[in-house]
Amino acid sequence: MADSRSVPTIHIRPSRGWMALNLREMWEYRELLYFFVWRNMKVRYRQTLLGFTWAILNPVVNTVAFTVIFDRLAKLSSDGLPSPVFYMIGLSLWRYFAATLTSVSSSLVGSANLLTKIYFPRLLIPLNTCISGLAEYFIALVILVALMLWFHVVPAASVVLLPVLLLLTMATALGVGLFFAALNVRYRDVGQLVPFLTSIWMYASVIIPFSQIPERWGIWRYLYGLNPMAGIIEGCRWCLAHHVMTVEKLTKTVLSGLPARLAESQRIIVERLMDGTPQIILHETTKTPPDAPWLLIAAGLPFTIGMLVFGLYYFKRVEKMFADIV
Amino acid sequence: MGNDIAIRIEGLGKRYRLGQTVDLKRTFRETLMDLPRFFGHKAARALKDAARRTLSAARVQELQSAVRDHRTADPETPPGTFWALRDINLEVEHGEVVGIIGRNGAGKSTLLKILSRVTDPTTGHAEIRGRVASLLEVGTGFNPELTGRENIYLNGSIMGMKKAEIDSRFDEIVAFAEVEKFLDTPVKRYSSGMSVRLAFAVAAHLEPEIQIIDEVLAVGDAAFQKKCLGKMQDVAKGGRTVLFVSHNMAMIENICDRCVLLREGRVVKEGNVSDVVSHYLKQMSGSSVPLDQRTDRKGNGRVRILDIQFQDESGQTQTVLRSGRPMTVQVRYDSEAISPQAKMHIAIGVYSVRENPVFAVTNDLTGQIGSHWPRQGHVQCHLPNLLLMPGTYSVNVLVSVNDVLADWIMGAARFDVEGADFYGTGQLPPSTHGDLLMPHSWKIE
Repeated sequence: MADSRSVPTIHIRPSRGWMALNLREMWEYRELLYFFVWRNMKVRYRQTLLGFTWAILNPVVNTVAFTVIFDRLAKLSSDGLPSPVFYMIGLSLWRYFAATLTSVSSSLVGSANLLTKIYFPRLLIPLNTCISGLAEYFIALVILVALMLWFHVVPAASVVLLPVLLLLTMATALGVGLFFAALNVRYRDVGQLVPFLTSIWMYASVIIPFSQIPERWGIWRYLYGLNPMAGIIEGCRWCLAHHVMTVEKLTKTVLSGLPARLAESQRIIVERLMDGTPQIILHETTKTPPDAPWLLIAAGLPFTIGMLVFGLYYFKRVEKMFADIV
Repeated sequence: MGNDIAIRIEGLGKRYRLGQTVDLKRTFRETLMDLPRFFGHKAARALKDAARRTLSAARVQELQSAVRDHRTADPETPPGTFWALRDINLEVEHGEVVGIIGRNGAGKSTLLKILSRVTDPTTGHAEIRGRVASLLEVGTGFNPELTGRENIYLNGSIMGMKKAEIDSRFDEIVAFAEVEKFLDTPVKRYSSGMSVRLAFAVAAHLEPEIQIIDEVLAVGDAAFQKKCLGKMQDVAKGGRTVLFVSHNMAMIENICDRCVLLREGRVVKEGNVSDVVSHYLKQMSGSSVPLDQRTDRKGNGRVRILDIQFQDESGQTQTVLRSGRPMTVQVRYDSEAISPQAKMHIAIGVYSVRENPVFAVTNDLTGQIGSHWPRQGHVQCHLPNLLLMPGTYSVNVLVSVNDVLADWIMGAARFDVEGADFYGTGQLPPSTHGDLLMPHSWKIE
């Protein structure tokens, strides 16, 4: 039976430092990736009493806390948005980022049982946690949209750019996570480091809108964007809540890829749902409404891409020794 | 690569750093856990501390070979490393069933790990035509929260099956595992027997081009073991390429076309099955290194075990004993000057080839020879009736003085037991039913 078909030949050789990602092989194993994601969903849903409620609870509780602390007490700017909306947008994305980073970091060690016994492309393990984490984010997104409508903030057409930002978030979490995952094999302290890091990183990413950084700093303001998550979250707020975009303008922005000055004074018309009578609600943005934060996002790209490449490299180096070390 | 070659291995080698082997921790823990149960002695506790700092006994052999390599100042073997596999060359044709035998630590599992791509070789290369699947890790990736049905898909997928393949074999798998009624029950509610059956069923229905079978027969109840054995034979005889690793020489001889004997990471003999098996058994019974020259021992050395012999009822030294007959184990020792009042303890543990403890005897249990040992002498332990099934057994010996470990050797000696008409009916229980022959009788009242 084996002779009649053309069977692939597997070559086993000592590993080299840098191996090609072997995307073709990953593609061949796509079903396994699917089953891993499917397993994560099922298990998560079954194991906990409240299931996905936890996914919602975390950003919601944080949003309440942040609103009270940073808005009411510290009187920080929420960039013209209702502060719960402002914080919820950032925190829901942050939750996805932090959860993914944490699970990717522990993925190699956590799957030791599997990895020391059976071969499959090792990248599937961290990759599947990136994907299954999205489910939680989408649920949080539903809550977020409800919250926005409550505050009469309508998701604009620019929402179609959200997947791009999600992809960037995933890439950042994956890059940093892969590095930690590989490091975790040798030093289990990484397990302690990651929660610590994510909480500090969170404060550096979700609180300060770009508009609050003094304009007189000129180009230096974009140093803020060296933290890619700051730019991505800014972008999230922009594309979810700040701007109404016409399809024409959107196409132009996407095609040019340049920071387009799309800012106009906003007047968003919403039908008030509460009493059913159409009313005009005025939603004023800040004096100067924020620009599309592409430049800020671009400032974070070197980190994201660099970390992804380095994380992949380090991961690839460690994965072959993994069975011998653990 | 010719069309009829399924596996070609050239110059394959694997170098480990000492203390870095995969199953070091496992064997380590097992060793520690077995000790108190086996010898029930304070010496075990003292040994734990010593053992924690050193290597597990099972790895001492590799340590020895590492030391040997150092002596020859091999530039390829930096200090602190050893070769678990060295310069393996092997070709396996399509449809061939090749047995791989050797003692524990000979490199069998390392070879399988490389071929199943779990770990990388250090040198050489291998070419494999077709999908490889191993029956050595049944149940990998089982998730207790998922139902039987879900686990079949997950596990099958992890082992390399496509969803369509699983779909088409699903009913067969379920029927083989005998879990029809519990398909939608989470596996955490399964008995251990059920989950093992399910895991084996998935693995057995993989149908890859090349099958690696490690001894998994220790799983499940007797009836299921028989079924597994049958399935393995089907696989082996179904024209598939099979690498078969086992300690069960009868099965090797029954199934394999060719046999490879590994020792200390090298192929020492290859070819005709019965030749290789008999070579292996010879190697097993007469340890390659005389006992008094072995360095893989623990303890302070106040007493040194020099030699172990097995004698039959007529006092003849034998390596093959007979079931149901008397046996005497004679341990020759040498010691420093020890106070005659010192509390002497000797324990002999007997293990089956699968390294399961079978029984242990100690002088504490019978309250004999607890002191006044001469400086040199022979300690004899007499077993009036050897209640063992036919097979090969290994012996661990431990001596302590005032509860301080003096000498302890794992695998100090081996002996074979030959079947005899134990029950006077010409019958013996099947070998899967344990290692003991229990005298018994029946009646109806």
